[in-house]
Amino acid sequence: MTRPTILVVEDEFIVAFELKVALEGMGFTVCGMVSSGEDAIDCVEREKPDCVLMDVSIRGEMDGIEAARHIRARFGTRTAFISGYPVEELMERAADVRPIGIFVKPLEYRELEIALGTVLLSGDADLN
Amino acid sequence: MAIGSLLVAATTIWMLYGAAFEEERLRLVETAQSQARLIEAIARYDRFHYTDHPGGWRAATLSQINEAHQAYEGFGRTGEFTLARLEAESIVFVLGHRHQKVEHPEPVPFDSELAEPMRRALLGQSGTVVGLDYRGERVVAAYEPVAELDLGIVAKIDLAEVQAPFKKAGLAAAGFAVLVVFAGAILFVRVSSPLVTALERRSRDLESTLVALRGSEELFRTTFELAGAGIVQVSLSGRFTRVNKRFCEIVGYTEGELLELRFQDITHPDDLEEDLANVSRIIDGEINSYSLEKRYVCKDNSLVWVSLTVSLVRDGPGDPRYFIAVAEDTTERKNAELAVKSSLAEKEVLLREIHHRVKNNMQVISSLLNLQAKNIEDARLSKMFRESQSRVRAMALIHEILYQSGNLGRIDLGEYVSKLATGLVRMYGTEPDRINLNIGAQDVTLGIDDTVPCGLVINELLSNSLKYAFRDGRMGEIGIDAAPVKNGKIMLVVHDDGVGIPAEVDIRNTETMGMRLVIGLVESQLGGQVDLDRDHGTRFTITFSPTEPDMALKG
Repeated sequence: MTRPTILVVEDEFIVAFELKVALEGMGFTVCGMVSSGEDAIDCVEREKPDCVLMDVSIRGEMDGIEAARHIRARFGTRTAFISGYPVEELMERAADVRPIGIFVKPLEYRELEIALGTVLLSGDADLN
Repeated sequence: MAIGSLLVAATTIWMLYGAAFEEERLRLVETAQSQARLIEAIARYDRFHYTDHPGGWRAATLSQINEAHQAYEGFGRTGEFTLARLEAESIVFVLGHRHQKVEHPEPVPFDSELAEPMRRALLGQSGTVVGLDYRGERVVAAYEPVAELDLGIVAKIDLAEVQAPFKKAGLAAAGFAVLVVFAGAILFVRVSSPLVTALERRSRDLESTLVALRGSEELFRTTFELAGAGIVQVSLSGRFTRVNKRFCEIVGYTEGELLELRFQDITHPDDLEEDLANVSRIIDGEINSYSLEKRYVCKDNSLVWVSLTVSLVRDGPGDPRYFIAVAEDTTERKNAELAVKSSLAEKEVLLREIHHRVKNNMQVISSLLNLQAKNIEDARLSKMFRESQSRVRAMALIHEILYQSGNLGRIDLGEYVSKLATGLVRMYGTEPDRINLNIGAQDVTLGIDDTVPCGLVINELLSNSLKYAFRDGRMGEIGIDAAPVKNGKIMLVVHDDGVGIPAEVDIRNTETMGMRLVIGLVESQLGGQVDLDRDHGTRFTITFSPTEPDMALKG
């Protein structure tokens, strides 16, 4: 069984890098690290990751939720959000994207690992 | 009025006189005729029965009549009968008369003007006349011939007597009228004199009032014209009825142009509603005047801000008449105000941005520490990295809360502590069921200068409790409370009911970094004090004076 691939969208490189290290430690493959919604869409088209881990506030014209909306509409790929903002507000805005989860910074990696693992390793990325 | 009443009185008297005269005349006619018929009757009787009388039956009749006549004075004051015959062209009276103390009055020549009634009687006529009697007195008389004796009989009364009461009445009426006129005149003077005096005084008062008014009007006009503020008089429908020079300058219209306009025409559409609402309230008497800030659209289409004060002028009974509005050009002030506001908003955005940046940078530091720690095998070193990471996060959280909240200057301590604690609990992997976390720090806010040391202190104490207090797997409770106490101080309590700090550990004399940070930050940076109570678990009480007190709490 191949390792599930994840695209990391985060405009702060070191934070993205820390995430990549953490995700790889969990057994995932990070197929790319981009910092804007536009790049994220291109990268999903190219790499076809199993899911996207997306910061809500990113570079470019669109924010993370809009980018996730495009990605889900065009490729069916689901997104997990990470954010520094209160979760309740985001839940409402991101409801139609049906996110895997919303993880508040500072990230608790064990929560992230459980959530991503449940979805990706069980192979039902599109079912939930 | 007097003349009118006099005329009425005269007419009345005249009519009464007419009636009285007619009545008198009829009485005279009746008297004359009845006497004549009586005498004729006696004469006819005597002609048959007194044939033996020395003077003949005529004399017998006459003597009887004379006898009867002597017992009869006459009627009224001047009324009497006369009886006469024609003898040698003279009228010879045969009876004694009332007015001449003689047996018979002197005969009167038949062709004289005297004894006119008798003349007519002797001519065989019957009727009434007003004419001269034997005395030359004007009388009302009824004359009648006495057929049997060839005599004439006259019943007469002096015209003067008939007229007397009416003359009297006329005189009385005239006198009364004069009296009325006189009394009226007196009354008029009596009544009108104080009125005239009062009127004169009133007119003098009015005149002085008028002078004062002219002065006041002059003052008003001068004030109106020379005032530094724009002043207008506006009709109830909103039309300008009077505008001063300053107002013309403010809105850039000439006086003539403004007098053709309503205030609605030059008020900015966005400000009109509020203005009109106030106009309704003032007309309804709900308010006496109102002030507002609004914009006029000038003639050149530029906008001008004015501070407007409007009051309603009512007339005596209280009906609204017109508005007086004073407008002060506040464009410069308003623009400055708007500039300050926008500058403030800009600074807020910048400050928010900076807090965001600082928080991101701290997160990067935290990530770097985390990445670095991955390669460390030594548990002691790894723990030091984790602690450093947690301290950076404690500070980053302050900036995160600041840029997310509406208040860029102050931090809600309750919100901060609850987020900080949640992060630490997750970081130390404590099972949520085992340790109950109680946070009570409602309504305590701190400035950023106090929050950073305070946050670090809480971070250390909470970390200690999480790491050591429940090491043996026991269940328990950690509490963090903050509350304002007297003298504007804040008391912060971090306690747990865990195993407690061993008695031999002196917190002021320990090598541990955490405890040295707590003592140092509280005593040196916050200028407060730390007390430790080891009776039931561990209880740290920290008291300090905030450098930036919460004005809202004090107020």
